[in-house]
Amino acid sequence: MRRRSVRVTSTLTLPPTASPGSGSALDFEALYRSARDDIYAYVATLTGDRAAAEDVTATAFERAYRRQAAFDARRGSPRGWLFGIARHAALDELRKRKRRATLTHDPADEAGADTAAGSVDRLDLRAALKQLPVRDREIIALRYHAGLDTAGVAEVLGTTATNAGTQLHRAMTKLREAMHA
Amino acid sequence: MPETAEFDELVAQLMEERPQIDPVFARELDAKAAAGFPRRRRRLRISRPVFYAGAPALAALAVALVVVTSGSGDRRDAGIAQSTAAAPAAPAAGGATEVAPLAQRDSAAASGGAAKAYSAPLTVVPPPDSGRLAKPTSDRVQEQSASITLQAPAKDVASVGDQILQVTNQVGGFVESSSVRSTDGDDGGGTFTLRIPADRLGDGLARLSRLGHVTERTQGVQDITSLRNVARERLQEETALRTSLLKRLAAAKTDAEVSSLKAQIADVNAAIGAARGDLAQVERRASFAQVSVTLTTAGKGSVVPVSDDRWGPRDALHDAGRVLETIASVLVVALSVLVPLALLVATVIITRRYAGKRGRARALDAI
Repeated sequence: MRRRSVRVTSTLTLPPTASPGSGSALDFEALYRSARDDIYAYVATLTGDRAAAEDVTATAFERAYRRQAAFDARRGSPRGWLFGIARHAALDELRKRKRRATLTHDPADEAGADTAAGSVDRLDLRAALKQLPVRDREIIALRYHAGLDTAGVAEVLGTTATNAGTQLHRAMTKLREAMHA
Repeated sequence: MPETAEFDELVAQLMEERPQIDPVFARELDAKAAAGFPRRRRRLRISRPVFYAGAPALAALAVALVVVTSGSGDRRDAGIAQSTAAAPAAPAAGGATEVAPLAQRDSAAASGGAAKAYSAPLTVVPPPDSGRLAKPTSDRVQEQSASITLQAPAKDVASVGDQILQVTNQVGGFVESSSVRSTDGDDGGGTFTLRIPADRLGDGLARLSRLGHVTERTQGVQDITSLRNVARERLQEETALRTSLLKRLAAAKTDAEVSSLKAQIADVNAAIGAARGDLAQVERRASFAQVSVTLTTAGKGSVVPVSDDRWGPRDALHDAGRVLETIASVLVVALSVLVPLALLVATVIITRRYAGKRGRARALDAI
């Protein structure tokens, strides 16, 4: 399974928070480091707009930073909590875009597209993803772009793992049908 | 299984298509995170729901304030009207009554001076406004009056009577008349006619009320502007007449003419003195309120509550009760405004949250 990734490294030190491993306290720095790219990938797939995805990502982390004292480990994992915040921010962005004219295509996608033999398949995949209903696109983004397992997806969506698995299967079926259409 | 292989291929493509974060944006985000996500300065924006909820609430509050303040003003004016309605405010009647003594004086002077030859008879009744004399000023003059009935134990009649006189002196007034009857039985009492400066009437009545048990109290106001104006006009007439006579005296040629004019001038001087006296009397009536005090005794066996000037525990309890009443009243009024506002704000917040949830759910259903 080929996976292309670009790691962006930086020496990042967040302001002091509660010490890690202190029970219900949240280690925000560690969470930020581990989830930054995953959050971006999820939001970008969900919104289909890179510029909007950057705004939403920044908003999500800012909200999470300010509300970290309210995190309760008994209600879920830190990643699930963070993705929940990002989900709300992304859906709010989609609601706003309903009232505004939306781009029919993302110029950044076209600029980055190469002319290799697999580019046609990638364009088909992107087009098929954008054609999917938001619910299906979201679950695919959570599973394959954010890197969450089925249990993690279920936690974010507020459903059971079985139900999440079923929804994921349906979404993938729709995606495949859209690509072959 | 071909289907499984196709599925795996699709997954692989998805993984390859995973959006990558832009390095420039990543560095900017890292910097914000390192700085603790400093808050951005935003211009104050009032959202529509808050504006639509707050504007009517503010308008209702403003209307309520206007109604309350105007209502208290009306009650105050009504109280003043009630106190003034007790006295007959009839300038014409008062004027007619007071003109009579002047007419009697003038007619007596006229009959007594019949031997003197006047070239110009004196005017007895106030002349109609012919425009020759200066018109009376527009400022109103009022005479205040009050009556109060005090009840005191029979054994205290004399001392209360003395205190009434002391109070009158303390507020700068004087006693016009008084009579006190002290007996061994319960039929003692007294009557007092006091003159208290009009600007200290309230203070004087308050002090008098503390001397005994007040069983009756009335206050009134009578407009005496016409009396003042009549007195002024008369004084002006007599003064103008004297001026004319003095000019004629200066131009007199014969001794008989001089004697006649001197006699007329003497009569006019007397009239001027009388007019000045009348004017002073009217002004004194305006400056000093007439207060009638009736002192009575309680029947046998009855207990007369007598208050004194000392402030004791009972007074303190009474005052504390009044303060608590006032605080409670203010709290009730404040709650009547704040509770609806709080309910309104809570409704707006709940509605926004519900609308937000529904909006996100609708966004999920969109394509």
